[in-house]
Amino acid sequence: MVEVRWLLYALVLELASLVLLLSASSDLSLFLTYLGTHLVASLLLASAVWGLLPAGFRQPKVLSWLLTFSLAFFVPIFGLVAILGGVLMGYLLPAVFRDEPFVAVEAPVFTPVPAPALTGFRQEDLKGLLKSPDTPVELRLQSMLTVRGMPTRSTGRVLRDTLGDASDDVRLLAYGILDQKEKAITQQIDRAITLLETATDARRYRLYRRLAELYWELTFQDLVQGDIRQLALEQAAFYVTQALSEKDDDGGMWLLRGRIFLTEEKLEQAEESFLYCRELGLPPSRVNPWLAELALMRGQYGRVRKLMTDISTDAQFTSLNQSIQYWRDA
Amino acid sequence: MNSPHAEDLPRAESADICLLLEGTFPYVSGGVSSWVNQIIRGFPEYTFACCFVGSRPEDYGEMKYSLPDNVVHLEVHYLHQHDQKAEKTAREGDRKAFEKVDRFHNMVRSGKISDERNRLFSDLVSELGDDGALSEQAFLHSRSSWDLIAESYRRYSRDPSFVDYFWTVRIMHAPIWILNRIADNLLPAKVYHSISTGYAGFLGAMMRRKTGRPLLLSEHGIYTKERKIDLFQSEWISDNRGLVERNNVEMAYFREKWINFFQELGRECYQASDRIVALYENNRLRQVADGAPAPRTRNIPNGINLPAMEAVRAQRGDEIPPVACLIGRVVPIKDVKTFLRSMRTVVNIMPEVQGWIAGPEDEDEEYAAECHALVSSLQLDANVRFLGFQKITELLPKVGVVVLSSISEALPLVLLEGFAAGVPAVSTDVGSCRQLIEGLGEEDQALGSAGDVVGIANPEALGHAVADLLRDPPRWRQAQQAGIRRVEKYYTQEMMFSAYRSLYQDLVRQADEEGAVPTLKEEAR
Repeated sequence: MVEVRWLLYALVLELASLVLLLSASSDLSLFLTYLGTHLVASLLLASAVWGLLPAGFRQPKVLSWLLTFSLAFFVPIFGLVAILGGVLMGYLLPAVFRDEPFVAVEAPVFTPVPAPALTGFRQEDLKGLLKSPDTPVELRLQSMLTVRGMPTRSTGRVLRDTLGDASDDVRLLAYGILDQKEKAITQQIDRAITLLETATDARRYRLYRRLAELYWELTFQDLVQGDIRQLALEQAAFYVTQALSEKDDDGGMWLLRGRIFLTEEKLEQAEESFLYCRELGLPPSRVNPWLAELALMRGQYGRVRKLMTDISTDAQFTSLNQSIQYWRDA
Repeated sequence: MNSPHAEDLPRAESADICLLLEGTFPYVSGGVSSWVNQIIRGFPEYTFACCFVGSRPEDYGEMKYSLPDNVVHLEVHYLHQHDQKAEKTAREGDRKAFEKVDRFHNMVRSGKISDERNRLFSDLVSELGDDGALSEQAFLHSRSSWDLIAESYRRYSRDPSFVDYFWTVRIMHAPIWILNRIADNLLPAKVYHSISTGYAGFLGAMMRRKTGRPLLLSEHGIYTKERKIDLFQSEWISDNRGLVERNNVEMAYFREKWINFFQELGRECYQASDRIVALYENNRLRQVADGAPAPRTRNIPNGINLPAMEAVRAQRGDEIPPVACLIGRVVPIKDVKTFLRSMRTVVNIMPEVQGWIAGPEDEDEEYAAECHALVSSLQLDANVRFLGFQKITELLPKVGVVVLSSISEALPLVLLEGFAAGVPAVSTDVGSCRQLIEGLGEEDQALGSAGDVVGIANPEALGHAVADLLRDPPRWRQAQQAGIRRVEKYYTQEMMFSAYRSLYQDLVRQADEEGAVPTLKEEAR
């Protein structure tokens, strides 16, 4: 067999080339001689091994030969081992081509289908729609889907009113929306409290901060009422104090402290906190709106105007811009 | 596999009445299960078979009730336990049969109920068996089935994902063949009695269409409504519409499909039922709106065993115990969290008041853990106790007011039991609770109010109502008397049994007239 002969020649040549390579000389011509010998050995090796491969391994012809040659040429010695190992693997673990009981089908093309409109175009406020006893239940349910996507800070009142709806479906959906949002925050609170039990000093500060924000969020998002709201505010204030006892120059916590006092209508303490925020370097854009609200509660309109004008140079605001404009023009 | 203890279950060849029970007696405790237990024990003259349909074996533990002697047969099935070993083979499928399926779906879409639709349903059910044109294999692996699914997607889907559409259709319909297998092997009975619509009710409809024997439906809550709310909120249903395709007032397409599916299961059950029982008028109207033929519907309220509860009442002292007790499973539908929050208000007003939760906590352990955590965060550790399952006869003499904070109820037995034991109640305005506390109609209302009713999820109002009742002994005693009189007049076990006795007698007579009930062996022959 010609392949076996080629294989022997290849091995001899490869061995010779190796001897050349391992000799101590660093002559360039010696290296070029090695390269030439290795190239011939690889050509012979690739052709011999390729010729010995089973028919299935020799397809497509040129590419399979090139792969064999590349392994032999670019990975001396080990390439040969890889080729032989690959062939062996192919014999021992052949790919299975079973007769599958499946046939190919084409995926259908999507053609947008419009939803069956209940009443066509409608321009009406959600609150009115939900409160009106004349609105059909299906439409009220649809409105609830819209409400679900909005922050409860804006929709809390509507949702709570809907808890008394005559239709069970609407009522339960309103309950579900409020419950899910409240639960999302409460779960984070529970997790943070659990972590607090084993927290390191550095971690404890971050957890106090997080708990203060989460309890505040319950109130801010209008998810708790009455005694529970009071309790949430107390907890928020407690964790703010804890966080500040760990790190008393945390402007964000002082601001939150002020907002909690403002909610509880403890105006003196709120002002004290807000002013301290300014001392800590918080920008007027963050502190002044709260100081302005405080001044508004006291009826100090001139002060409101001044505070709002102080932040009017801050151009990045969007939601505050209109109020700033209003007070500047006032 | 059926049940881990399948070999221990009683087996019989036939029974008078076969109860179709989805996720309830005897493996789950609660109001409906207690009612089933009460009914079986109330009719010793009939033999009962129980067919329990559950989700997965791991969702249920041991039996929560000992089986009454007249339960001669119990079989247990699970809908979400797939044991698919059948060989998959490509097949063409019966085009005509799938055209019928398409026609049936068009009728469902039109929302119209007609004799033709009911006949078509019977036809389709008769083809569901392994040898039928609509076998599970034909549904899962035939070209005709694929073509129908692909065409329906093209015509109706508002969600672009065909992969999701395809799997939603397959997964949604899979239990139908499981139910069909149950129906094919279910023992013969004179009357089939389903305790809900849903899968058990659909099984009832299949039995009615296959055997011609009467089907009785008793609904406590409205299954379809509860499923609908679950589905509205579930987060596992995908919505693949892009930003420009999305319309905020439009429900995700697959969510709508799931809701429609359960509505249709209910409608088929209503259409197949010979008699349909609701607990109170609002639920009956809801059944009619959901497709129940009005002439077949009626109300039978729950009733309680008065003599037994009178003995409990006799154990009460003169003092009003400062205890507000929620009796029920610790599950979200009972809204235990609102009760706990209301206790914050109660304790602020009356620091000596205790809040008890008497009910098992193993049904939703995550929710139970959340409730325990809430007690601590409300700083109520000294005032609130979780008692686990309690014998009502031992518990009620120690209770000052029964509290029900549920977001959904039908006609809760615990309120009636409380009244009979001399305990007034404060409840949320759900199901028939207002009717139970304030009375329905002039004569009933003249008995007075047996407590107070507040809106759902309003802890402050609930707390104030509880504290007001406990702080005002004359009002409390007046409420106690109103409760006792109302139960004695309108909600006794005798009244309920007598109504069911006439129903069972009528239906058994109807079955007898149509021929003797063959045993399973005779049926096989």
